[in-house]
Amino acid sequence: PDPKYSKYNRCTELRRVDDNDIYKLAKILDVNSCWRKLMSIIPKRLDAQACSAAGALNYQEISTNVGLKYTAQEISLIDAERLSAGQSISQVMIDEWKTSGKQNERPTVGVLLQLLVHSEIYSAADFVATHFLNEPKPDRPVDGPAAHISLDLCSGDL
Amino acid sequence: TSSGREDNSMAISLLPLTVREQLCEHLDSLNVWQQLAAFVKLYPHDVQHIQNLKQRGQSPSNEFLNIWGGQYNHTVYNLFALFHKMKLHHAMRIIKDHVEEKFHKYIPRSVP
Repeated sequence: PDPKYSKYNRCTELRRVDDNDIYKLAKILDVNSCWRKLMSIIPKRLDAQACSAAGALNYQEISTNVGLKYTAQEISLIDAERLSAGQSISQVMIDEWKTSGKQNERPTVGVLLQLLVHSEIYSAADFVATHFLNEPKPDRPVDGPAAHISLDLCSGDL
Repeated sequence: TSSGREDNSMAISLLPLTVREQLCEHLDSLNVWQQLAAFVKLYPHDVQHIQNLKQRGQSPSNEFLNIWGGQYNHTVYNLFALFHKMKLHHAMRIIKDHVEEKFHKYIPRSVP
């Protein structure tokens, strides 16, 4: 197959992503306060570069061993930020996260995508996979609210 | 699953406003949002959130679509299939122009 063009790769740090792309992502995360769901599961002291590749972020193991980066109080501080016109609350959250931590902790597109899938924010996960990485949309679980529902097609329909 | 291959429909969030309003009005009149939420297994905090908005006079069906269609990025085809499984046939009719014609046969003829 032809090599596919993608604007970023999984190791691209979020602070290197164009503001306009972050803004589009932020608008998606504003729906149903999804930014809060994402922020509340970010692990502490993550070696972002080592966790960027597909499947490299073992969430259960990491979060059990090192805990979470943001407390409930820090999340409510973001919530209380006064937004200027045209600004999105998710953008404030991403701006905080993307510049946080030491060099190897700076979040990457790959880390973001895996955290989005883990928190079942498929609107943003599908967007990051297709628009940032030119990858197929991530697989869905077979059960729960993220699972696809389809018409029961008889063999004659196909 | 492979079911996604059949699906070229738009995201639920992109449904035209008039269709969405007509749909929510219909679903609210049937008061089926809790059954919809239970069928797709929404988490309790999302169900509670819908309940809270309903108490403030907002459309629970619209909020169901915000969550199931918004966060989970499901398509109009997925919604059509959900309505089919729940035998919400009039709801299927309201959105039928936004799924491929080959799926229209799943809508039973209306009984007078």
